[in-house]
Amino acid sequence: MTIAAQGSRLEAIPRPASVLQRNVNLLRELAVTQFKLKYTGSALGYVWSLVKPAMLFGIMYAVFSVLLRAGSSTPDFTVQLLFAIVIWTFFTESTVVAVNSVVASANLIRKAYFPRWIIVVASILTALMTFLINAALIIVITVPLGSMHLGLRSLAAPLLLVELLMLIIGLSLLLSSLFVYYRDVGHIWEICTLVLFYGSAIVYPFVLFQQHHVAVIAGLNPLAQIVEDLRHALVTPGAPWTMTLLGGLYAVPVLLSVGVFVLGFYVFHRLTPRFAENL
Amino acid sequence: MSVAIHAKGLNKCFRVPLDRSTTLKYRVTHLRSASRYRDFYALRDVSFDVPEGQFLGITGPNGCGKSTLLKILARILRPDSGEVAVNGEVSSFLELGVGFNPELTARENVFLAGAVLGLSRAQLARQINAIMHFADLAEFADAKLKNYSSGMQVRLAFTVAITASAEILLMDEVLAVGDARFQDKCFEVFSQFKRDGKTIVLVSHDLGILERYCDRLLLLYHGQVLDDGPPARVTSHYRSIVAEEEAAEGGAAVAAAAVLGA
Repeated sequence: MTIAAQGSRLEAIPRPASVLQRNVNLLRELAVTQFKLKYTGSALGYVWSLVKPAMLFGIMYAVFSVLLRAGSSTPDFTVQLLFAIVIWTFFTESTVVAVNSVVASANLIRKAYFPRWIIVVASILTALMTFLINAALIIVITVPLGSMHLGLRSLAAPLLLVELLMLIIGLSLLLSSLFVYYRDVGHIWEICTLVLFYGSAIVYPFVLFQQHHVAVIAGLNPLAQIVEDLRHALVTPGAPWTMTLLGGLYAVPVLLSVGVFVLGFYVFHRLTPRFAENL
Repeated sequence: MSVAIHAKGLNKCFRVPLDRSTTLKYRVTHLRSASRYRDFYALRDVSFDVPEGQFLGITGPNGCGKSTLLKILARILRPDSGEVAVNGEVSSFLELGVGFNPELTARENVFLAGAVLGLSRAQLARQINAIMHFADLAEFADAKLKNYSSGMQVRLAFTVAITASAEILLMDEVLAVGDARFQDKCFEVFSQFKRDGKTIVLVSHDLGILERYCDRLLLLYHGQVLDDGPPARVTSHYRSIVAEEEAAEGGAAVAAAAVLGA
Protein backbone atom coordinates (compact mmCIF):
# COMPACT_ATOMS: atom_id res chain seq x y z
CA MET A 1 0.00 0.00 0.00
CA THR A 2 1.25 3.47 -0.81
CA ILE A 3 0.86 6.41 1.54
CA ALA A 4 0.84 9.82 -0.13
CA ALA A 5 0.77 13.20 1.55
CA GLN A 6 1.85 16.67 0.44
CA GLY A 7 3.48 15.32 -2.68
CA SER A 8 5.70 12.68 -1.08
CA ARG A 9 4.99 8.99 -1.21
CA LEU A 10 5.82 6.11 1.05
CA GLU A 11 5.39 2.39 0.57
CA ALA A 12 4.01 0.68 3.69
CA ILE A 13 6.24 -2.16 4.89
CA PRO A 14 4.59 -5.40 6.01
CA ARG A 15 5.95 -7.03 9.16
CA PRO A 16 7.54 -10.47 8.81
CA ALA A 17 4.84 -13.07 9.37
CA SER A 18 6.94 -15.09 11.79
CA VAL A 19 7.13 -13.74 15.32
CA LEU A 20 10.49 -15.46 15.75
CA GLN A 21 11.91 -13.46 12.86
CA ARG A 22 10.67 -10.19 14.40
CA ASN A 23 12.19 -11.11 17.75
CA VAL A 24 15.53 -12.11 16.27
CA ASN A 25 15.56 -8.88 14.30
CA LEU A 26 14.87 -6.74 17.36
CA LEU A 27 17.42 -8.72 19.38
CA ARG A 28 20.10 -8.07 16.78
CA GLU A 29 19.28 -4.36 16.43
CA LEU A 30 19.36 -3.79 20.19
CA ALA A 31 22.58 -5.76 20.74
CA VAL A 32 24.46 -4.15 17.85
CA THR A 33 23.27 -0.69 18.87
CA GLN A 34 24.39 -1.16 22.46
CA PHE A 35 27.75 -2.45 21.28
CA LYS A 36 28.18 0.57 19.01
CA LEU A 37 27.08 3.03 21.70
CA LYS A 38 29.40 1.48 24.26
CA TYR A 39 32.48 2.10 22.17
CA THR A 40 31.69 5.27 20.26
CA GLY A 41 32.35 8.66 21.73
CA SER A 42 35.55 7.70 23.56
CA ALA A 43 38.87 8.30 21.83
CA LEU A 44 40.12 4.73 22.16
CA GLY A 45 36.72 3.18 21.47
CA TYR A 46 36.77 -0.58 21.33
CA VAL A 47 40.34 -0.71 22.68
CA TRP A 48 38.87 -0.07 26.14
CA SER A 49 37.25 -3.49 26.15
CA LEU A 50 40.76 -4.95 25.80
CA VAL A 51 42.47 -2.59 28.22
CA LYS A 52 40.17 -3.42 31.13
CA PRO A 53 40.68 -7.20 31.19
CA ALA A 54 44.38 -6.65 30.35
CA MET A 55 44.75 -4.41 33.42
CA LEU A 56 42.90 -6.89 35.61
CA PHE A 57 45.15 -9.63 34.26
CA GLY A 58 48.28 -7.57 34.94
CA ILE A 59 47.27 -6.81 38.51
CA MET A 60 46.18 -10.36 39.29
CA TYR A 61 49.33 -11.72 37.67
CA ALA A 62 51.52 -9.43 39.79
CA VAL A 63 49.69 -10.22 43.03
CA PHE A 64 48.93 -13.92 42.74
CA SER A 65 51.58 -15.22 40.38
CA VAL A 66 54.58 -13.07 41.27
CA LEU A 67 53.99 -12.08 44.90
CA LEU A 68 52.08 -15.06 46.25
CA ARG A 69 53.50 -17.59 43.76
CA ALA A 70 50.03 -19.11 43.51
CA GLY A 71 50.69 -20.87 40.22
CA SER A 72 54.36 -21.71 40.61
CA SER A 73 53.64 -25.43 40.70
CA THR A 74 51.19 -25.23 37.80
CA PRO A 75 52.53 -25.21 34.25
CA ASP A 76 50.95 -22.63 31.91
CA PHE A 77 49.44 -20.73 34.82
CA THR A 78 49.90 -17.40 33.04
CA VAL A 79 47.78 -18.50 30.09
CA GLN A 80 45.29 -20.10 32.44
CA LEU A 81 44.97 -16.81 34.28
CA LEU A 82 44.52 -14.93 31.03
CA PHE A 83 41.70 -17.26 29.94
CA ALA A 84 40.02 -17.18 33.31
CA ILE A 85 40.11 -13.37 33.46
CA VAL A 86 38.49 -13.05 30.03
CA ILE A 87 35.75 -15.55 30.95
CA TRP A 88 35.27 -13.79 34.26
CA THR A 89 35.03 -10.37 32.59
CA PHE A 90 32.32 -11.73 30.30
CA PHE A 91 30.42 -13.25 33.22
CA THR A 92 30.51 -10.18 35.41
CA GLU A 93 29.97 -7.55 32.70
CA SER A 94 27.04 -9.37 31.17
CA THR A 95 25.27 -10.06 34.46
CA VAL A 96 25.89 -6.66 36.05
CA VAL A 97 24.64 -4.82 32.94
CA ALA A 98 21.76 -7.24 32.43
CA VAL A 99 20.48 -6.86 36.00
CA ASN A 100 19.89 -3.19 35.29
CA SER A 101 18.71 -3.68 31.70
CA VAL A 102 14.96 -3.90 32.31
CA VAL A 103 14.90 -0.84 34.54
CA ALA A 104 17.14 1.06 32.12
CA SER A 105 14.67 0.36 29.30
CA ALA A 106 11.70 1.58 31.33
CA ASN A 107 10.59 4.01 28.63
CA LEU A 108 10.56 1.36 25.94
CA ILE A 109 8.66 -1.08 28.16
CA ARG A 110 6.03 1.50 29.11
CA LYS A 111 5.41 2.55 25.52
CA ALA A 112 5.89 -0.42 23.21
CA TYR A 113 4.91 -4.06 23.15
CA PHE A 114 7.46 -6.78 22.43
CA PRO A 115 8.67 -9.78 24.42
CA ARG A 116 10.59 -8.31 27.36
CA TRP A 117 13.26 -11.01 27.56
CA ILE A 118 14.70 -9.55 24.36
CA ILE A 119 16.04 -6.59 26.35
CA VAL A 120 17.93 -8.83 28.78
CA VAL A 121 19.28 -11.22 26.17
CA ALA A 122 20.33 -8.29 23.93
CA SER A 123 22.48 -6.86 26.71
CA ILE A 124 24.10 -10.28 27.21
CA LEU A 125 24.74 -10.54 23.46
CA THR A 126 26.52 -7.18 23.60
CA ALA A 127 28.90 -8.56 26.25
CA LEU A 128 29.21 -11.80 24.26
CA MET A 129 30.46 -9.87 21.21
CA THR A 130 33.23 -8.29 23.30
CA PHE A 131 34.04 -11.69 24.81
CA LEU A 132 34.30 -13.40 21.43
CA ILE A 133 36.63 -10.72 20.08
CA ASN A 134 38.83 -10.91 23.20
CA ALA A 135 38.87 -14.71 23.12
CA ALA A 136 39.78 -14.69 19.43
CA LEU A 137 42.65 -12.30 20.17
CA ILE A 138 44.00 -14.55 22.94
CA ILE A 139 43.84 -17.57 20.66
CA VAL A 140 45.62 -15.70 17.87
CA ILE A 141 48.38 -14.71 20.31
CA THR A 142 48.77 -17.91 22.33
CA VAL A 143 48.51 -20.60 19.66
CA PRO A 144 51.68 -19.53 17.80
CA LEU A 145 53.47 -19.24 21.15
CA GLY A 146 52.62 -22.85 21.84
CA SER A 147 50.83 -22.01 25.09
CA MET A 148 47.55 -23.59 24.04
CA HIS A 149 47.32 -27.33 23.95
CA LEU A 150 44.44 -28.32 21.75
CA GLY A 151 43.25 -31.85 21.27
CA LEU A 152 40.14 -33.97 21.22
CA ARG A 153 39.27 -32.76 24.73
CA SER A 154 39.01 -29.21 23.28
CA LEU A 155 35.73 -30.28 21.69
CA ALA A 156 34.22 -29.88 25.15
CA ALA A 157 34.84 -26.12 25.00
CA PRO A 158 31.68 -25.22 23.01
CA LEU A 159 29.56 -27.30 25.40
CA LEU A 160 31.11 -25.52 28.36
CA LEU A 161 30.39 -22.18 26.72
CA VAL A 162 26.75 -23.23 26.29
CA GLU A 163 26.65 -24.08 30.00
CA LEU A 164 28.18 -20.67 30.80
CA LEU A 165 25.61 -18.91 28.61
CA MET A 166 22.74 -20.78 30.27
CA LEU A 167 24.05 -19.75 33.66
CA ILE A 168 24.43 -16.12 32.58
CA ILE A 169 21.05 -15.89 30.84
CA GLY A 170 19.27 -17.57 33.76
CA LEU A 171 20.90 -15.35 36.38
CA SER A 172 20.28 -12.22 34.31
CA LEU A 173 16.59 -12.94 33.73
CA LEU A 174 16.09 -13.78 37.39
CA LEU A 175 17.95 -10.77 38.76
CA SER A 176 16.72 -8.20 36.23
CA SER A 177 13.07 -9.02 36.90
CA LEU A 178 13.55 -8.99 40.67
CA PHE A 179 15.43 -5.69 40.34
CA VAL A 180 12.22 -4.05 39.10
CA TYR A 181 10.66 -4.68 42.51
CA TYR A 182 13.68 -4.73 44.83
CA ARG A 183 16.51 -2.35 44.03
CA ASP A 184 18.68 -4.10 46.65
CA VAL A 185 19.24 -6.86 44.12
CA GLY A 186 21.83 -4.74 42.31
CA HIS A 187 23.97 -4.33 45.42
CA ILE A 188 23.52 -7.92 46.52
CA TRP A 189 24.64 -9.13 43.12
CA GLU A 190 27.77 -6.95 43.22
CA ILE A 191 28.76 -8.58 46.50
CA CYS A 192 28.00 -12.03 45.09
CA THR A 193 30.25 -11.40 42.09
CA LEU A 194 33.09 -10.51 44.47
CA VAL A 195 32.58 -13.77 46.35
CA LEU A 196 32.45 -15.69 43.07
CA PHE A 197 35.60 -13.96 41.81
CA TYR A 198 37.70 -15.16 44.72
CA GLY A 199 35.83 -18.42 45.23
CA SER A 200 35.91 -19.74 41.67
CA ALA A 201 39.63 -20.39 41.20
CA ILE A 202 39.92 -17.57 38.67
CA VAL A 203 43.09 -15.96 39.98
CA TYR A 204 44.70 -19.08 41.41
CA PRO A 205 44.91 -22.63 40.13
CA PHE A 206 42.20 -25.03 41.21
CA VAL A 207 44.80 -27.40 42.74
CA LEU A 208 45.26 -24.81 45.49
CA PHE A 209 42.26 -26.48 47.11
CA GLN A 210 44.45 -29.16 48.64
CA GLN A 211 41.98 -30.93 50.90
CA HIS A 212 39.70 -33.21 48.93
CA HIS A 213 36.42 -32.11 50.52
CA VAL A 214 37.24 -28.40 50.07
CA ALA A 215 37.99 -29.03 46.41
CA VAL A 216 34.70 -30.90 45.99
CA ILE A 217 32.72 -28.09 47.60
CA ALA A 218 34.50 -25.49 45.44
CA GLY A 219 33.81 -27.57 42.34
CA LEU A 220 30.06 -27.59 42.97
CA ASN A 221 30.03 -23.91 42.01
CA PRO A 222 29.14 -23.94 38.28
CA LEU A 223 31.43 -21.00 37.49
CA ALA A 224 34.45 -22.75 39.07
CA GLN A 225 33.59 -25.96 37.22
CA ILE A 226 33.23 -24.17 33.87
CA VAL A 227 36.45 -22.18 34.23
CA GLU A 228 38.45 -25.20 35.40
CA ASP A 229 37.12 -27.47 32.66
CA LEU A 230 37.77 -24.81 30.00
CA ARG A 231 41.36 -24.59 31.23
CA HIS A 232 41.69 -28.33 30.93
CA ALA A 233 40.09 -28.37 27.50
CA LEU A 234 42.23 -25.60 26.02
CA VAL A 235 45.37 -25.00 28.06
CA THR A 236 46.53 -27.68 30.49
CA PRO A 237 45.96 -31.29 29.45
CA GLY A 238 47.64 -32.46 32.65
CA ALA A 239 45.00 -31.07 35.00
CA PRO A 240 42.05 -33.42 35.52
CA TRP A 241 38.46 -32.69 34.48
CA THR A 242 36.36 -31.61 37.43
CA MET A 243 34.34 -34.75 36.64
CA THR A 244 37.29 -36.84 37.87
CA LEU A 245 37.28 -34.91 41.12
CA LEU A 246 33.52 -34.69 41.64
CA GLY A 247 32.41 -38.08 40.36
CA GLY A 248 28.64 -38.33 40.53
CA LEU A 249 28.47 -34.90 42.12
CA TYR A 250 29.47 -33.52 38.71
CA ALA A 251 25.74 -33.38 38.02
CA VAL A 252 25.37 -30.65 40.67
CA PRO A 253 27.08 -27.71 38.89
CA VAL A 254 25.61 -28.75 35.52
CA LEU A 255 22.10 -29.08 36.93
CA LEU A 256 22.56 -25.79 38.78
CA SER A 257 23.31 -24.03 35.48
CA VAL A 258 20.32 -25.63 33.77
CA GLY A 259 18.17 -25.02 36.86
CA VAL A 260 19.09 -21.33 37.04
CA PHE A 261 18.28 -21.03 33.31
CA VAL A 262 14.82 -22.56 33.78
CA LEU A 263 14.16 -20.65 37.01
CA GLY A 264 15.24 -17.39 35.36
CA PHE A 265 12.77 -17.81 32.51
CA TYR A 266 10.01 -18.89 34.89
CA VAL A 267 10.40 -15.96 37.31
CA PHE A 268 10.84 -13.48 34.46
CA HIS A 269 7.73 -14.82 32.75
CA ARG A 270 5.71 -14.54 35.97
CA LEU A 271 6.83 -10.98 36.71
CA THR A 272 6.71 -9.59 33.14
CA PRO A 273 2.99 -8.66 32.97
CA ARG A 274 3.44 -6.08 35.72
CA PHE A 275 6.70 -4.54 34.55
CA ALA A 276 5.03 -1.62 32.76
CA GLU A 277 3.14 -0.42 35.84
CA ASN A 278 6.02 -0.92 38.26
CA LEU A 279 8.73 0.89 36.33
CA MET B 1 -18.84 -6.52 9.39
CA SER B 2 -16.35 -8.26 11.65
CA VAL B 3 -15.13 -6.95 14.98
CA ALA B 4 -11.60 -5.54 15.07
CA ILE B 5 -11.43 -4.84 18.80
CA HIS B 6 -13.52 -6.54 21.45
CA ALA B 7 -13.34 -5.41 25.06
CA LYS B 8 -15.64 -6.77 27.74
CA GLY B 9 -15.80 -5.99 31.43
CA LEU B 10 -12.30 -4.55 31.67
CA ASN B 11 -11.10 -3.68 35.14
CA LYS B 12 -7.75 -2.28 36.08
CA CYS B 13 -6.66 -1.23 39.51
CA PHE B 14 -3.27 0.27 40.30
CA ARG B 15 -1.88 -0.19 43.77
CA VAL B 16 -0.29 3.12 44.57
CA PRO B 17 2.24 2.61 47.35
CA LEU B 18 1.95 5.13 50.14
CA ASP B 19 5.50 4.55 51.34
CA ARG B 20 8.81 3.59 49.85
CA SER B 21 8.79 -0.18 49.84
CA THR B 22 11.30 -1.01 47.14
CA THR B 23 14.07 -1.95 49.58
CA LEU B 24 14.31 -5.32 51.26
CA LYS B 25 15.17 -3.71 54.57
CA TYR B 26 11.90 -1.83 54.53
CA ARG B 27 9.97 -4.98 53.64
CA VAL B 28 11.62 -6.92 56.45
CA THR B 29 11.30 -4.24 59.12
CA HIS B 30 7.73 -3.33 58.15
CA LEU B 31 6.25 -6.80 57.71
CA ARG B 32 3.05 -5.86 59.45
CA SER B 33 2.38 -2.76 57.42
CA ALA B 34 2.90 -4.49 54.08
CA SER B 35 -0.57 -3.40 53.00
CA ARG B 36 0.06 0.31 52.92
CA TYR B 37 -1.38 0.84 49.48
CA ARG B 38 -4.08 2.99 48.09
CA ASP B 39 -6.07 1.30 45.36
CA PHE B 40 -6.68 3.46 42.34
CA TYR B 41 -9.33 2.12 39.99
CA ALA B 42 -8.23 3.25 36.55
CA LEU B 43 -10.89 1.25 34.71
CA ARG B 44 -14.19 -0.17 35.95
CA ASP B 45 -16.20 -2.57 33.84
CA VAL B 46 -15.35 -1.05 30.47
CA SER B 47 -16.95 -2.80 27.51
CA PHE B 48 -17.09 -1.89 23.83
CA ASP B 49 -16.66 -3.41 20.39
CA VAL B 50 -15.01 -1.66 17.49
CA PRO B 51 -16.10 -2.92 14.06
CA GLU B 52 -13.49 -3.16 11.34
CA GLY B 53 -12.85 0.16 9.63
CA GLN B 54 -14.23 2.38 12.37
CA PHE B 55 -12.43 5.52 13.59
CA LEU B 56 -13.05 5.50 17.36
CA GLY B 57 -12.17 8.46 19.54
CA ILE B 58 -11.69 8.23 23.30
CA THR B 59 -11.82 11.30 25.48
CA GLY B 60 -12.30 12.34 29.08
CA PRO B 61 -10.61 14.41 31.77
CA ASN B 62 -7.09 13.70 33.05
CA GLY B 63 -6.89 10.49 35.05
CA CYS B 64 -10.09 9.04 33.60
CA GLY B 65 -8.32 5.93 32.30
CA LYS B 66 -7.90 6.77 28.61
CA SER B 67 -4.23 5.93 28.44
CA THR B 68 -4.64 2.85 30.62
CA LEU B 69 -7.31 1.58 28.23
CA LEU B 70 -5.10 2.20 25.21
CA LYS B 71 -2.16 0.44 26.88
CA ILE B 72 -4.34 -2.57 27.60
CA LEU B 73 -5.38 -2.69 23.93
CA ALA B 74 -1.69 -2.43 23.01
CA ARG B 75 -0.90 -5.38 25.35
CA ILE B 76 1.48 -3.28 27.46
CA LEU B 77 -0.71 -3.54 30.55
CA ARG B 78 -2.72 -6.58 31.54
CA PRO B 79 -6.26 -6.00 32.84
CA ASP B 80 -7.12 -7.39 36.29
CA SER B 81 -10.26 -8.92 34.83
CA GLY B 82 -12.28 -8.85 31.65
CA GLU B 83 -11.46 -9.89 28.15
CA VAL B 84 -9.74 -8.16 25.25
CA ALA B 85 -9.40 -9.42 21.72
CA VAL B 86 -7.66 -7.46 18.98
CA ASN B 87 -8.02 -9.07 15.57
CA GLY B 88 -5.40 -7.93 13.12
CA GLU B 89 -1.93 -6.46 12.87
CA VAL B 90 -1.61 -3.59 15.36
CA SER B 91 0.57 -0.49 15.30
CA SER B 92 0.50 1.50 18.51
CA PHE B 93 1.89 5.00 18.82
CA LEU B 94 1.60 5.78 22.50
CA GLU B 95 4.43 8.21 22.11
CA LEU B 96 6.36 9.28 19.06
CA GLY B 97 9.98 8.23 18.92
CA VAL B 98 9.82 5.16 21.15
CA GLY B 99 13.18 3.44 20.83
CA PHE B 100 14.99 6.51 19.52
CA ASN B 101 18.48 7.14 20.80
CA PRO B 102 19.92 10.67 20.58
CA GLU B 103 23.49 9.42 20.08
CA LEU B 104 22.63 7.62 16.84
CA THR B 105 22.12 9.08 13.39
CA ALA B 106 18.62 9.49 12.00
CA ARG B 107 19.21 6.57 9.65
CA GLU B 108 20.30 4.26 12.47
CA ASN B 109 17.31 5.37 14.52
CA VAL B 110 14.97 4.38 11.70
CA PHE B 111 16.35 0.83 11.87
CA LEU B 112 16.13 0.73 15.65
CA ALA B 113 12.63 2.19 16.01
CA GLY B 114 11.53 0.09 13.05
CA ALA B 115 12.77 -3.05 14.80
CA VAL B 116 10.74 -2.12 17.88
CA LEU B 117 7.71 -1.97 15.57
CA GLY B 118 8.62 -5.39 14.21
CA LEU B 119 10.11 -4.37 10.85
CA SER B 120 13.20 -6.03 9.43
CA ARG B 121 16.39 -4.18 8.60
CA ALA B 122 16.42 -5.43 5.00
CA GLN B 123 12.93 -4.08 4.30
CA LEU B 124 13.68 -0.75 5.97
CA ALA B 125 16.95 -0.46 4.05
CA ARG B 126 15.08 -0.65 0.74
CA GLN B 127 12.77 2.17 1.87
CA ILE B 128 15.18 4.34 3.83
CA ASN B 129 15.46 7.07 1.20
CA ALA B 130 11.70 7.27 0.77
CA ILE B 131 11.30 7.46 4.56
CA MET B 132 13.82 10.30 4.92
CA HIS B 133 12.24 12.07 1.98
CA PHE B 134 8.70 11.69 3.34
CA ALA B 135 9.85 13.20 6.64
CA ASP B 136 11.46 16.11 4.70
CA LEU B 137 14.79 15.12 6.23
CA ALA B 138 16.64 13.70 3.24
CA GLU B 139 19.62 16.04 3.70
CA PHE B 140 19.97 15.22 7.40
CA ALA B 141 19.86 11.43 7.25
CA ASP B 142 23.34 11.04 8.70
CA ALA B 143 23.10 13.73 11.36
CA LYS B 144 22.86 12.55 14.96
CA LEU B 145 19.38 12.72 16.39
CA LYS B 146 20.54 14.91 19.30
CA ASN B 147 21.26 17.63 16.75
CA TYR B 148 17.71 17.49 15.42
CA SER B 149 15.10 20.02 16.48
CA SER B 150 12.11 18.54 18.29
CA GLY B 151 9.99 19.14 15.21
CA MET B 152 12.41 17.19 13.03
CA GLN B 153 12.42 14.31 15.54
CA VAL B 154 8.64 14.22 15.54
CA ARG B 155 8.53 14.11 11.73
CA LEU B 156 10.97 11.23 11.65
CA ALA B 157 9.15 9.33 14.40
CA PHE B 158 5.78 9.77 12.74
CA THR B 159 7.07 8.61 9.39
CA VAL B 160 8.63 5.46 10.87
CA ALA B 161 5.42 4.75 12.77
CA ILE B 162 3.17 4.95 9.71
CA THR B 163 5.59 2.93 7.60
CA ALA B 164 4.69 -0.26 9.45
CA SER B 165 1.74 -1.71 7.64
CA ALA B 166 -1.10 -2.42 10.07
CA GLU B 167 -4.83 -3.03 10.11
CA ILE B 168 -5.40 -1.44 13.50
CA LEU B 169 -3.83 1.79 14.75
CA LEU B 170 -3.80 2.82 18.41
CA MET B 171 -2.79 6.44 18.96
CA ASP B 172 -2.37 8.61 22.03
CA GLU B 173 -2.35 12.38 21.50
CA VAL B 174 0.00 12.05 18.56
CA LEU B 175 -1.52 15.09 16.95
CA ALA B 176 -0.72 17.47 19.76
CA VAL B 177 2.84 17.88 18.51
CA GLY B 178 4.27 19.36 15.37
CA ASP B 179 3.55 22.55 13.45
CA ALA B 180 0.47 23.25 11.36
CA ARG B 181 1.98 21.92 8.16
CA PHE B 182 2.97 18.68 9.84
CA GLN B 183 -0.47 18.32 11.40
CA ASP B 184 -2.02 18.69 7.96
CA LYS B 185 0.26 15.94 6.75
CA CYS B 186 -0.77 13.71 9.65
CA PHE B 187 -4.43 14.21 8.83
CA GLU B 188 -3.88 13.56 5.17
CA VAL B 189 -2.37 10.22 6.18
CA PHE B 190 -5.16 9.44 8.65
CA SER B 191 -7.83 10.27 6.08
CA GLN B 192 -6.14 7.88 3.71
CA PHE B 193 -5.95 5.18 6.40
CA LYS B 194 -9.66 5.67 6.98
CA ARG B 195 -10.44 5.39 3.26
CA ASP B 196 -8.35 2.21 3.16
CA GLY B 197 -10.63 0.73 5.81
CA LYS B 198 -8.18 0.64 8.71
CA THR B 199 -9.48 0.58 12.24
CA ILE B 200 -8.23 3.56 14.24
CA VAL B 201 -8.45 4.32 17.95
CA LEU B 202 -7.43 7.85 18.86
CA VAL B 203 -7.14 9.16 22.41
CA SER B 204 -7.28 12.94 22.51
CA HIS B 205 -8.36 16.01 24.44
CA ASP B 206 -8.94 17.96 21.25
CA LEU B 207 -12.73 17.82 20.85
CA GLY B 208 -12.59 19.67 17.52
CA ILE B 209 -10.35 17.03 15.95
CA LEU B 210 -12.39 14.21 17.45
CA GLU B 211 -15.63 15.64 16.06
CA ARG B 212 -14.07 16.10 12.64
CA TYR B 213 -12.51 12.67 12.16
CA CYS B 214 -14.17 10.12 14.43
CA ASP B 215 -17.13 7.92 13.53
CA ARG B 216 -17.83 7.31 17.17
CA LEU B 217 -16.67 8.72 20.48
CA LEU B 218 -16.22 7.09 23.88
CA LEU B 219 -16.35 9.32 26.96
CA LEU B 220 -14.52 7.94 29.98
CA TYR B 221 -15.13 9.31 33.43
CA HIS B 222 -13.47 7.95 36.58
CA GLY B 223 -12.64 4.78 34.71
CA GLN B 224 -16.16 4.15 33.47
CA VAL B 225 -17.77 4.57 30.07
CA LEU B 226 -20.08 7.51 30.63
CA ASP B 227 -21.17 7.92 27.03
CA ASP B 228 -20.63 6.10 23.77
CA GLY B 229 -22.06 7.34 20.49
CA PRO B 230 -21.90 9.90 17.68
CA PRO B 231 -19.10 12.42 18.30
CA ALA B 232 -21.33 15.52 18.18
CA ARG B 233 -23.61 14.20 20.93
CA VAL B 234 -20.80 12.91 23.15
CA THR B 235 -18.74 16.10 22.95
CA SER B 236 -21.71 18.24 23.91
CA HIS B 237 -22.41 15.85 26.79
CA TYR B 238 -18.77 16.19 27.89
CA ARG B 239 -18.87 19.98 27.60
CA SER B 240 -22.02 20.16 29.73
CA ILE B 241 -20.40 18.01 32.45
CA VAL B 242 -17.30 20.20 32.47
CA ALA B 243 -19.49 23.31 32.69
CA GLU B 244 -21.46 21.80 35.62
CA GLU B 245 -18.29 20.90 37.46
CA GLU B 246 -16.82 24.33 36.95
CA ALA B 247 -20.02 25.87 38.23
CA ALA B 248 -19.92 23.61 41.31
CA GLU B 249 -16.27 24.41 41.92
CA GLY B 250 -16.95 28.07 41.40
CA GLY B 251 -19.77 27.87 43.93
CA ALA B 252 -17.51 26.08 46.40
CA ALA B 253 -14.81 28.67 45.88
CA VAL B 254 -17.29 31.48 46.51
CA ALA B 255 -18.47 29.71 49.68
CA ALA B 256 -14.89 29.17 50.84
CA ALA B 257 -14.05 32.81 50.17
CA ALA B 258 -17.11 33.82 52.18
CA VAL B 259 -15.99 31.65 55.13
CA LEU B 260 -12.45 32.98 54.98
CA GLY B 261 -13.69 36.52 54.69
CA ALA B 262 -15.98 36.18 57.71
